[in-house]
Amino acid sequence: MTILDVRDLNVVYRANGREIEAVRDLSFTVEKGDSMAVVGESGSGKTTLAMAIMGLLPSQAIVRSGQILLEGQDLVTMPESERRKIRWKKVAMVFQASQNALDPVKKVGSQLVELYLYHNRGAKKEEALDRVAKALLTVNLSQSIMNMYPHELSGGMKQRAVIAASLLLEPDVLLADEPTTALDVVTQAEILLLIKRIVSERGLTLLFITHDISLVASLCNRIMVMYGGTDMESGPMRDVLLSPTHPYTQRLMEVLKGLEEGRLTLEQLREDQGRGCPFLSRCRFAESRCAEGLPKRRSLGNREVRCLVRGEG
Amino acid sequence: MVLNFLIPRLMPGNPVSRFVNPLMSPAAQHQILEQFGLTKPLYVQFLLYLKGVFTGNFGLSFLYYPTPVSTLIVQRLPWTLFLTGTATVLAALIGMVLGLLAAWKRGKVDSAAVYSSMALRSLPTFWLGLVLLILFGVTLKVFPTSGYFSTSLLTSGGGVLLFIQSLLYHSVLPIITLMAYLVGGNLLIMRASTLNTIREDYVTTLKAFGYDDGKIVYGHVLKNASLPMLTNIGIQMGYIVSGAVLVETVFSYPGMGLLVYQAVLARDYPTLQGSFFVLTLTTLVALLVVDLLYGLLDPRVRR
Amino acid sequence: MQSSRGYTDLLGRLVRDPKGAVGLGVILCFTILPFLRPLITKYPPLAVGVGVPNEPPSHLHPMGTTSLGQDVFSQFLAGGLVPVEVGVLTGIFTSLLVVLIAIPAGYYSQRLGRLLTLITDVFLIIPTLPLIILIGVYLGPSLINQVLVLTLISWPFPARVVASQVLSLKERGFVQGAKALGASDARIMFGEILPNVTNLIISNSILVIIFAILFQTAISFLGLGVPTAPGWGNMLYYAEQSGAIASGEWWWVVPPGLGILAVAFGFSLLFLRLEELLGVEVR
Repeated sequence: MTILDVRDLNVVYRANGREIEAVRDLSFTVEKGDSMAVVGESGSGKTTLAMAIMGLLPSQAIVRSGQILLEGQDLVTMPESERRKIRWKKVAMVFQASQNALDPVKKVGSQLVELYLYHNRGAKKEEALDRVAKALLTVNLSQSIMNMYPHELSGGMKQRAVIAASLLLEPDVLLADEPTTALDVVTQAEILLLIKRIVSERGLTLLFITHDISLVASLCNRIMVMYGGTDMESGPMRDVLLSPTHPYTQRLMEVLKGLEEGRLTLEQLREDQGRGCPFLSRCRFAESRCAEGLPKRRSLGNREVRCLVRGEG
Repeated sequence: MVLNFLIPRLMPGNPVSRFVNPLMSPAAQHQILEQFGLTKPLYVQFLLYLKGVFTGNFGLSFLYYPTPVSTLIVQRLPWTLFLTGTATVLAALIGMVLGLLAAWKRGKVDSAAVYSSMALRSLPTFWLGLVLLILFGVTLKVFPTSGYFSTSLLTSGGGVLLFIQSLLYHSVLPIITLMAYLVGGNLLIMRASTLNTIREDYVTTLKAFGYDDGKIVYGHVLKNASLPMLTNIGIQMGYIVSGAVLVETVFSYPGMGLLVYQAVLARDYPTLQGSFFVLTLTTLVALLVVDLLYGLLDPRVRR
Repeated sequence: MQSSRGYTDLLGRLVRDPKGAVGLGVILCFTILPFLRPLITKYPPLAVGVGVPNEPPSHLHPMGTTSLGQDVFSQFLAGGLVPVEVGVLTGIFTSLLVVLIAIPAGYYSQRLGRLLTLITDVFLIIPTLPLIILIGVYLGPSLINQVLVLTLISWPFPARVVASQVLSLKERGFVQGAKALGASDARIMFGEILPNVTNLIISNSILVIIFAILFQTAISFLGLGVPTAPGWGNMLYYAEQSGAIASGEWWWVVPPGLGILAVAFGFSLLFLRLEELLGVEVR
């Protein structure tokens, strides 16, 4: 059953009288239980996408058009008061591991308890404490964390605490935006394994956003590659990685392998044409028709691709 | 905080005492008051002073002869503390609330807030006192113009309640005057700090949690944004004494400020020494209190 | 690293924004008015008995008269010069002190820097006004003494800010580079570092000026200023002494205070605009 359906999403940032398109004409679906990786470099629009889904877009950003359907309900047109109720309850987010994800002047435990009680009015404090304890257990954190302040925890511990928070209200969807980027490699692996375990144990739907394609290969079963604010290629993970269709995906895989095998050639850069395929300036297959407009999304086998040159048969 | 512990150690070698003492020498020529020990050599005077400090004995006042300085101080200090304490607390609360609102709402409200605080900080405190005095005390006769309670009550013997009422009446104008400058500063700092706090990551997390604005602002932003303002209050402590001198003079409020002023005019050295010492000490204590408070509120600072 | 041409340009940008223009305008207005006073009103500010004493505003005397029959309006026009003078001079002297003390302090050692912090803390704790009064009384009443005292009180605060800035600049590339080229310490301090802290010093000196103006008028009000100099602070002193408060003679009391407020506010606006332009962290 489709749990998340994004249709023709367009998000723009307004600044100083100019408009910058962050997300262009984006469409994809996520089935319940899937783990979808959203891969793209900075500026590809992936974080904007996450914020749009959560409803946390800054005031300069607006959804110009499109729909975000969560279990059939359009989040874009939903009034803020409604959104707040489902925020965290249906979709929870794990942010980029930051020093400052939690309120520094309050104990970790009390913040989690507060979270639980806010969404479950009328619940007893003992119940909240119990749930929080269970959540902490799931992420392998000891109970003593509860009485500590955020600055007393290590980066990995903080991230686990945030994950614990995300599980508290038992959401259906987990949105992870670069959850391991600021961590060291070892901790990174631990967090990834943790997420994998939680997702499979609880049957969650995962949307994992990252720029690092190597992280998601074993974690997710589907992948969507973003570039320039829109999707370039999307499909089952294994297939896309083993035989990438879109030139950008190809390039990504080449780079991955090339770094391992030690041979890599620098790509030629061409001028950015404005309208047209966003990948034009870096694409070695580019033809003149690629500058005419954004290539349409086409189904090709078990995946969807936006490419005029390689996206046909 | 460490430095604050160094400063009490500076105190006995108080620059004040060494400073005021040289004033005695030219004056000693004018005042042949041997019983005040002025003719003794300087270092003896200094030693006597030190001894006096530790025993709480500051000698006798020139002006209010023969009242001991310590008596004068004891009489007046509480009133000054009442005045300054109330003003500080009120100014902090008002500045905090308004600063928070200004930062959260932004727009015209915000600009208005910024400019008004700047205006408040450009006000000459004593002038505000004068204006308020004329306006409310003389012309409109709403508030009394001097003292801190009606001495007539002492003779007519009202109850405690009447006393408190009179006290409050007399205090309103001085407190407002003292507060004005403080509020301006507090508001600006609180506003700036709130603006910074809103941009912090954890505020996004809180929003993601689904919290409504009210809860975010009052439950979390408030505490975090107040911290710099608290530091500012500490800095204000030094200014408050100056303000007290001005305000008490304008309103003829018999507190430490007025005492200092009168003492200077009358060249009343013992009183000056004593007052200076006590005032500096009080400021120090206040600063320590603020430091402690900060530690209580911000767990990152505690060791 | 700013040429004098850069400064003219800065001035231009300063006044382009209403904050800068209004601020500068107000300051200049009250600084120039005293000189224009003879053109505006024929009553010299200190001339006694030119009008009926204690009169409220009338068309003869737009701001009324004092208890000695002096024209308040005239005094108001002339009264801005002294506070601003003292204020600006204090600002200049303080900046000089700061340059001479803070730059070497920040440059040479951490300990000197911490000493500076200590001194600042001491000054924070000692009550300012009583101290000013004391020193003022000791030195005797004169405008220069006022400037000196105020400078003495003010220099630690900007000094500390500048010193810490110097400390961080010390490690930066261009300083290391100059060192590698064999430049002498003095050369580095005043050739490389100084231009970079100039903005900071200027902004801070405006704050000092505001502080000095407010305190100068305060001590004049307390009667510890220079009795003969026509300043707003003095005006208020005389007003109080002659019982204007009790008689509710607002025309004597309100204008000088408004003048002080205006000038101080003007400097504040200037400061805001300067902060925008120079983009400097002042605190």
